[in-house]
Amino acid sequence: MKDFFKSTRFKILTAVFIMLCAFMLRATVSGGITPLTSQLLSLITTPVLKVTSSISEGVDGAFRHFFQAGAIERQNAEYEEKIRILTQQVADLENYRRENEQLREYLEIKEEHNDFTFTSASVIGRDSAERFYSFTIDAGSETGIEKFDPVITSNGLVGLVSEVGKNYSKVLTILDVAVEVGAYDIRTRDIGATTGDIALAREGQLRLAMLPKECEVSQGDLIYTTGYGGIYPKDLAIGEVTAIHTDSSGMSMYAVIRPLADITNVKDVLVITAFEGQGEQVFD
Amino acid sequence: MGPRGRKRMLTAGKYLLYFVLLVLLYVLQATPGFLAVRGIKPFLVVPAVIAIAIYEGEFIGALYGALGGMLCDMGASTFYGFYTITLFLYCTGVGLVLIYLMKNNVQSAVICCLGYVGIMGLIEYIFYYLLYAYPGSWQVLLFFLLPRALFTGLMMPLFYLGERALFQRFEELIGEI
Repeated sequence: MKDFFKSTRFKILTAVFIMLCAFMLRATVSGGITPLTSQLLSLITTPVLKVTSSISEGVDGAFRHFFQAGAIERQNAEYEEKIRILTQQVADLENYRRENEQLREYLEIKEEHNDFTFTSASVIGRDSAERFYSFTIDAGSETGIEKFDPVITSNGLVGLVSEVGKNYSKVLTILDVAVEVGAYDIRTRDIGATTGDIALAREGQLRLAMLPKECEVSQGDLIYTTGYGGIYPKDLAIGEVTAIHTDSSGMSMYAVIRPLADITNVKDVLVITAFEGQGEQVFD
Repeated sequence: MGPRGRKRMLTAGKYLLYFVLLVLLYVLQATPGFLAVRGIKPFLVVPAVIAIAIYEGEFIGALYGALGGMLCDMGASTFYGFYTITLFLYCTGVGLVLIYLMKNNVQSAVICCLGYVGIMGLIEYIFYYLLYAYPGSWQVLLFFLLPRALFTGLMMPLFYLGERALFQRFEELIGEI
């Protein structure tokens, strides 16, 4: 073992270690911008991830047809060409359908919030090291995405961008315990803040905390963003109240919310890159 | 090309193959739904780099550990460098431990793998949940970090045997020259 510590290999490894530490420090200082190594690796992995994620989500789509075509091909060779063309058409139609849905969602939101600027993106990765259903999308700084940009679907808020690479971004969902959103009940106007809860996150739900004890929030109420803080725009739908409880201190109430966006299975999202009031009142 | 040149080519080919395999494993690891059991997915890159460190020793093991860590950091919710630094150090350790202290077999490989994912899970739990005193944080440990560690440990024999086959095949080819 002593020989190892005297060897050239040890010196090289020490140099590599110092270099890695420098990269890590740079990443910490630069915030959401990922270091060069990550950017380079993402150039290889992101395109491959796009393919594999579409294969994974396409079990009900084109890929199943592809496999069926293979089985039919073995049984009856004359149908091979016909099935291949049909399969291609189904895949094309599926792509058009998704694109159409995305554009329709885009239009609906754009009509409702004409101050929004969007970038559409697809979910390409859900890593084993990610928590609270956070995910990676196939759009990054190239398309104008920045750290803390809100991520939505046509149904409601999904989360925010936590890290930006050149061609990918990482998204933290509103189910994460580290994500807080100023929110209000659209019926009663009671104000609170949504935050992830470890136990509730397993059921795909979150909590609306800091509600006054005399609040009138009830089951079925819809919760929207207040826009306070300048990170999220005002009046984005978050979710629906499923239960009301008194918190452990007994001083305030909290509501359990089921997000309107299907956070655990979301496949396509919109990233709001600009909106009226963005960045106002932001403080660390 | 002389015998020395061919040996170098084969060695370079082996290292390139490791790189390609690690990238492919990362892609599989990050593919939504792949190998997910009740929302828990195993690490695929971690057992692979540990297997490489076992057979290739501390130097090559450390370098592939860093590469594997960079890949893991791309998808992880932890700060950038968490997996790069720890896998770099751990694979160096694994390479040395396998030379001086442990036997090179499946059991040692599983112990090394469980050791890493266990320690990392614990560090992640302490620094990302326990210190913030989130209510019910023990549930993360019990229902997410622990099952993920065990799931990854279960995958280790596959990677160990795969790496052994690959390593021995390349050794044979180099020996034939």
